[in-house]
Amino acid sequence: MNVVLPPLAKADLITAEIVRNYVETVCGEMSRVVENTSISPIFSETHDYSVGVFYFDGKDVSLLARAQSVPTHIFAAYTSVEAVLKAYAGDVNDGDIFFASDPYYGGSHIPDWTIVYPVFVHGVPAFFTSVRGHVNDVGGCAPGGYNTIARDVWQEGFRVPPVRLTERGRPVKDLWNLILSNTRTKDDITGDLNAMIGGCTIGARRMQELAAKYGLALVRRCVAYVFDYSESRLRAEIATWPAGTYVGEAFLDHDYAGGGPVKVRAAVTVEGGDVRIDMAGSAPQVAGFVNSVAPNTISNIYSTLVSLWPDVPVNSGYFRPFKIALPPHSVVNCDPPAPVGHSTVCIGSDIMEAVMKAFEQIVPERVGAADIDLCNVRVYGTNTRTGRFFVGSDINATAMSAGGAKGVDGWGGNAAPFCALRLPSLEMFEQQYPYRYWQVEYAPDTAAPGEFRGAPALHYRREMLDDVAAIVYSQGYAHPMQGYVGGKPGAGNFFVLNEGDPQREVKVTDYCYGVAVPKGGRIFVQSGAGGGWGDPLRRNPDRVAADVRSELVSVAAARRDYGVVIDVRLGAVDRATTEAERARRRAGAAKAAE
Amino acid sequence: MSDPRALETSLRAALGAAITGYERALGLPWSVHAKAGLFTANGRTLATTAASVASLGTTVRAIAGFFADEWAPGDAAITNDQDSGATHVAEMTLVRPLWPAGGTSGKPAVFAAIRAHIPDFGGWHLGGYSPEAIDRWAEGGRIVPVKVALAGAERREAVETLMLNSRTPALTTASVRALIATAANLAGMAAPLLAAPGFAAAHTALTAGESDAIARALAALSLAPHRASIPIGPLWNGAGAGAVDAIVERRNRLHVALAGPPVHALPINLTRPMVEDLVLAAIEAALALPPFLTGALRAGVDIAEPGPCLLDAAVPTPVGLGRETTGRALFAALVQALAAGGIAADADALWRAYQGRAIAAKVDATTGRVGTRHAGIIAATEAERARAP
Repeated sequence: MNVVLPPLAKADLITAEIVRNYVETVCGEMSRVVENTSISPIFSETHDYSVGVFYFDGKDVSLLARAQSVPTHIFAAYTSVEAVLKAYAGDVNDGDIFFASDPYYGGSHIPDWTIVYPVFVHGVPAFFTSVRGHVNDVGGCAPGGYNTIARDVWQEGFRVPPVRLTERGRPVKDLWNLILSNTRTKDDITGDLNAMIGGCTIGARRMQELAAKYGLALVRRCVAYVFDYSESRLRAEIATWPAGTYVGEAFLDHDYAGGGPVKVRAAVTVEGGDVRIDMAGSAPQVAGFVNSVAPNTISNIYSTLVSLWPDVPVNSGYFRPFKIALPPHSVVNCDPPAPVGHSTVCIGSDIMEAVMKAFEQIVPERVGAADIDLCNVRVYGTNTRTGRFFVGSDINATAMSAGGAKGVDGWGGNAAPFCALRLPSLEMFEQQYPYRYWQVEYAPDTAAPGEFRGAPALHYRREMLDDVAAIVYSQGYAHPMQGYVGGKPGAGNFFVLNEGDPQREVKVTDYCYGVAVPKGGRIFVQSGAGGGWGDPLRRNPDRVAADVRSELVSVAAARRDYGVVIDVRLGAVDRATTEAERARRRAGAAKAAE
Repeated sequence: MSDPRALETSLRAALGAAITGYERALGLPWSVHAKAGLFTANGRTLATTAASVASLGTTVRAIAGFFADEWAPGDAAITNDQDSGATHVAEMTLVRPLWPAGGTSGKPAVFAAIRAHIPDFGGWHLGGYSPEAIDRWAEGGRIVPVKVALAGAERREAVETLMLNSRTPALTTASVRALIATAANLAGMAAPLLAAPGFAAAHTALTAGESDAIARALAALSLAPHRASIPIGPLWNGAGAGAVDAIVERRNRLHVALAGPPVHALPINLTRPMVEDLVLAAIEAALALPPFLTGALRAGVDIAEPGPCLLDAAVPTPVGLGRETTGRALFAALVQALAAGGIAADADALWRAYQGRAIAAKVDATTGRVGTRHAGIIAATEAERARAP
């Protein structure tokens, strides 16, 4: 039964804003708890988890607030909360804690574990706190959860439907043991799981304190106002958009199964104050592990939207004006048992990119790289320093995805929708895994040209201190991240395994599985970056000169890509020659356009 | 119930009915290799359908130890975990507690156990065999002891987890439900027998008689140590992997010593319970013993610890094709060693009989996977069951 709420009195508007900010602060505190109490670097260093507070009106669940983290997690967690409520209809008790991880049961890919924690107020569940985190191993055929040669979901890991981990405050020990025994790094992940529960517990306590302070009835009315407020802000934006249909496309290089490129198409239709996002025209589902279940696709679309209007409070009200249509049996709405392991980012990033390219035609001043065309390597083996099996992920190799946006160059980190993913400390990796880093450095002449350029690509080199095997999964070599509003695309991704070893060296531009890298072997990564924003010929020449002095752009590339002529004796712009060069190019472009 | 013969007949009837009931409930076109037994909480055998399932007792001990006194009537727990005595990822063992002396809670005294092969439980390929597996997790889901029934009611969380992790969800769900029902039936039949006055005396007499029978069969083995060495493989990739050495010697009991090459990167290793099962299966087959030897054969055989080698694999070492490769060599080495001592038998024929119509027998020697034809039969059967109302 839905709760029918009277409208909020004017005097309570301030209370509503206090409630909104309070819940967002609660999410921040939950996030800190997870970060500070987890074990695995993928949590504590990389921050590959998200937290949220969900509102429950007795029938439906809504996202009330989330911490600035990885949006694709928490919007998909919404479906996990729904799946839990469906599985335990009428059987949710105070003190219960739920867990789910199956992609075809409200999840996204198997390593994204979700904790759902009901918050009881006056004997009824009024909220849910939730943490969704990417654990480092979930069993299955490939250590690390990324099976590049998977052809079905059973080759990707251990699937868990909604289960009750704790019943009325009492741990259900056999289910705990079952879930954790299906990871290769049980000790570490036990700590991570407890950290997730700890975050939810703190969040639940804070929400109960909120209800105790203001009364649940007033809090409910405030929540309704918060949703309406976000919706009204978005509708006000939409009212300024010209009606029409705007199409964007993006491509994966390959499907990990010999097929490709894989197309994603988004058509955004603005009509009568509503917006329809139709993904028809996207490729049929494919053999490799880039297929996306519907919640993951929707989550990636939502992630794009929230990066476009970051000043509007993000909650379920934000998304009310948007209607999403997904073609069945497609790469953006796949059927079981299609493998989905890589979908959260690839094809997720391409879903975001296609939507962003469509919005480029509506709000060009707001768009920019939305994606991370994931290039990553997981290495595994026995760490002789500890005697233990390890699976190491290096999300550093993914991070340089930020493209330019109006007013700002691409920064040295993740694109806006992944802004809370952090560049992990290499020293921490060296402490925990048998690596030694030799190079982490911006590569000259790799930044996507634009009025606001993309971030340069990074070059990583590291040495293995033990015998390991490597799984590489990479996209974006043939289809790097696109530029916007005339900006150029970013540099591509690639790997070199056993670099410098004439017998073993192999360049990987797509994927490999279980390649041996012996002790002393080196792995090289070029992590490409997002595209530029705006015409490179409009870039401030002084900024080009600064890039030349910083060795990000060569003198030759300054002229080639930006039409900026550098006086090498002074290290400064030769303004007259630059103006002439740019005028010549613009004239040439205009003539070509005719 | 003081007559050991009557007890034997009753136990055989109960166990036989359980196996038959399970197999009929599923009606599959291949053998599910079902085995059943009654065990004490510490894994001591009271009765089994075959002497070669000593690992069932290991499984009972592991499950009983995990849950300790957290049992209620109607509970049932399942595992496929090789570290808990199971022998293959697609082989599920379900146990159900019994309180024959009365009482309905606390540590159970006895467990009814049933083990059967399900057609798939994840891993690389349909059918449960993954030659590419680099470790135990790559062979399929690890079901460490978990309750699938609580107080007689199916536990959705556990059964659904089993279903989700199988390529044959309809068959797996049916199998688990049949296991739960079969264990309940077995417990129902066994409880009055175990509670009957004179059971302990009758059981002791029964076991003693069986031990005598085994001793008489073994008398044909000459007293000197006899040894045999059988190479493992060739494997599906054409590689060799060394040999299994077996030495048998008749002392007060039959003494078995084994040796093998180091732990292998391919999934051809064996856990200790798997070795124990194979040793007893080989002896049982070579001596042509009847299958209902309530633990007597296990009690009459000493198996020396092999030391660190592929016959003593622990997590995470992969073992999925261990029985079909190293296990076959071990089986043959034992039969050959017994033959050297005067107990003539055809190892290949006995192995084929041991494997029967089980899925394991359908593993293609050139790929290490379940053969294409049989995989097709599994898939077709699954599709048919999934369509059934």
